[in-house]
Amino acid sequence: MFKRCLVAENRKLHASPIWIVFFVLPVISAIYGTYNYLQNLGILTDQWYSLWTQHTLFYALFFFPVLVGVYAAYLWRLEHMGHNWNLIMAAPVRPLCLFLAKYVIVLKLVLLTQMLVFALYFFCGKAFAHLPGLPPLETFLYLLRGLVGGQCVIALQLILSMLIRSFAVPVFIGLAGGVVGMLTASKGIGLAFPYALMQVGMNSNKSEDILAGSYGGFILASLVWLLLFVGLAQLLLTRRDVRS
Amino acid sequence: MQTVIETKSLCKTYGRQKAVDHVELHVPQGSVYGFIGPNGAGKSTTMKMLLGLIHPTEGQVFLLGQEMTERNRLALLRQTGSLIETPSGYLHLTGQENLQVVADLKGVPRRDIARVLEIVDLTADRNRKVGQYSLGMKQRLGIAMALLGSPKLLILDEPTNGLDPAGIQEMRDLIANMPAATGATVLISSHLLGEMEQMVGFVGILHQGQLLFEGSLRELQRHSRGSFSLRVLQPQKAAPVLKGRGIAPRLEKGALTLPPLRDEELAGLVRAVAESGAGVVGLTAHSKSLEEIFLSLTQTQEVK
Amino acid sequence: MPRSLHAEFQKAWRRHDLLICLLLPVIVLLWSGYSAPDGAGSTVNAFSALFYSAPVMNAILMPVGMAVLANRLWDVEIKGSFPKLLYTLQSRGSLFAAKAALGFGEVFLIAALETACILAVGRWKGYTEVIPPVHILYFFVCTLAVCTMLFFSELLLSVLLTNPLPALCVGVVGALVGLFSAFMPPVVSLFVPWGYFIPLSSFVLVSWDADARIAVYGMRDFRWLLLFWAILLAAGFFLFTWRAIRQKEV
Repeated sequence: MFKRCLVAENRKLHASPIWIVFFVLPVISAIYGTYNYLQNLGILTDQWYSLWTQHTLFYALFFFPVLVGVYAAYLWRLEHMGHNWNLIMAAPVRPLCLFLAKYVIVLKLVLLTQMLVFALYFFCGKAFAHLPGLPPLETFLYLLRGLVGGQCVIALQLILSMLIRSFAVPVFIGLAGGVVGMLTASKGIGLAFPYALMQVGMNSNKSEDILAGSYGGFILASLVWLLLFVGLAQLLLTRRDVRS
Repeated sequence: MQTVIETKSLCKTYGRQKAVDHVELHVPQGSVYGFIGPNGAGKSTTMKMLLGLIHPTEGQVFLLGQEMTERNRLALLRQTGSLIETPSGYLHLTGQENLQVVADLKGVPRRDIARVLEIVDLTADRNRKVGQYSLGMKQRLGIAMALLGSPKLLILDEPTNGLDPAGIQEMRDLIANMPAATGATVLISSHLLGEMEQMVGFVGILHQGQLLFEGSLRELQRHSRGSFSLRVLQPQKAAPVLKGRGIAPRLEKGALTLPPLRDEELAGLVRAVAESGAGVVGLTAHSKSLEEIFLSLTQTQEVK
Repeated sequence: MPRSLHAEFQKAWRRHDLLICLLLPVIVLLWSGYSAPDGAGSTVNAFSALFYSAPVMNAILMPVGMAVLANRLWDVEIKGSFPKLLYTLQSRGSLFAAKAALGFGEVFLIAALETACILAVGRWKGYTEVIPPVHILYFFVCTLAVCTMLFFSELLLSVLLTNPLPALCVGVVGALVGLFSAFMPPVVSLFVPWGYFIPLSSFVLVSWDADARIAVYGMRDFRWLLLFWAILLAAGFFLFTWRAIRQKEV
């Protein structure tokens, strides 16, 4: 059942304009990041680590939640238009399967985006910054950690787009969440707020590893938020009447 | 005969395609005028031009006796009510609130809202959000909006769309009685001939952008009457009666086929066949399809 | 016009747009509140620090915020299938005028609330620095001008394209590029309208002492030419949107 949902959701993305956004944001981040790195070689002395912070700083703080918001809103838009809700709720699949299928698709999109960010980082590092050797393994780890932290944001944005029929409003909430997340992370209570988890994971603000040693808390927080949101989704999908 | 709507050589071309081709409409005052044609004939395009929503490529529109220009358009339309294609309705507002918006823009007093809600039978649902309305309810709300202010002219595009049989019946009665009740003229469009026949007094047939026929319904019915099938127990006894009236007897699927006849001729023929002892069991009238009507019209060269 | 404007207010009922208008300054409030320096502590002129960082916050939040407002303002007609009926009830010009007036009103409210919030934060933290009122007014006017330009550019996109995705993406990408342009050579920022908040700002970072972590902020001349250009762009988008509504076939 789940597999069928997944295939159906995947097909929706074919030839959609979403790929433009997927591509443009990381490229712009990379251009700026490389430029800023090269301009400030005096201060940024940690080479690969410094380049990493430049590439990912604003991306992680603000534009990742927005990107996730856009993906989530896009996937739900096709249901909100017309009377597709009827079609979906009448289909012989459990509503939660539907939600989880969308979750997996957005996860896939985000993973691809993270890969693109990393590929650009590697490319710019070699081609423009002429950094020696390979990027440190930790940066790849940060990338994956960012995904682990960010997956609860995916669930949250999917719920928001499910409840709010407007396309733009959940995306804006994502941006607001990103800002608040930045504030909570800087005050040290980052683990308590889903939007901040991603920023903490990506380690975009500092050159040294923020999470060194406290992986347990990070993973636990991610899991707890995820379970909370999935539970909320299940509740909403089964209790509320279909409003076509 | 005074016309409420008149068009002179109305044309609309999209690129190379002629959506509306030199249409000359004459809608008499106090009539219910049916605008008939298959899907894609150009009915909606013509109606949009009548309301000034689309600019004609050529030709003029006369509304309520005056030529419609940019300057007097809104003043003329204030005396009109319209429903084109999909009915309007803000989903986040209730039916009542939607009507308030339209009434305020039209300059119609708010007490009129209760009246139109009553007419379309939405009084019970007026405080529900339009987002929760069924398709039929949205359609009725659209008609209510058109009825606000008791306009002199109503232009309705497929008004029975989405309504259940009871709703269609009510709508038919409402529209058919409108000229008598309020003195209004109604222009409705549909691609369903059967429905129209019960509502309208005048028709205009549009096909591929051209007006093939315009006239009273009776005239059209004359063209649309098709052949008859007469079922008898003993066709061989009926055959001489038919031959005697100049009709070649043809037996198809156990029934005799009769060509289109006037009512009096038909009645006489059936009585004669019955008297001959053939045993009349049933008489069925076959109506011509719209396509057949077109053909019949073009062949008899009665196109305007 | 009054009738059309009244209709717009009726349509805005229950649409929670006011909440969004309030949400934006609240976010700025939170953000500046949290990251503002303490009373006497780390900087010499703390109020200037607030006004210095505000344009950066604007560059991030406003492009997306304006996209959301503009899109919702126009989209309500599309979702309700109303244009065909509206154009028989009112002229296209009056519809546009009413929407532009309501939109501008919302933008004005946001700019005013934001300025008020920043002043409130300063007062709450007990800053002693006195900012000349003319600088505060200039900040308000610049914010208003650039936000209006962003709003009408997004309204234009919403009218021309019924799909909200491109309009929103322009906002998102614009915010990113606008933010970055601030950290690039000043010449670049002149070509990125989304980030005009920053070059227009009259507050600058004079010196940054890395060891003592003390920043000194100063003020500079108002950039009248750039402000005039921003207002010109706003007027241009306003006119293009008007033309688009007039010509759009229903």
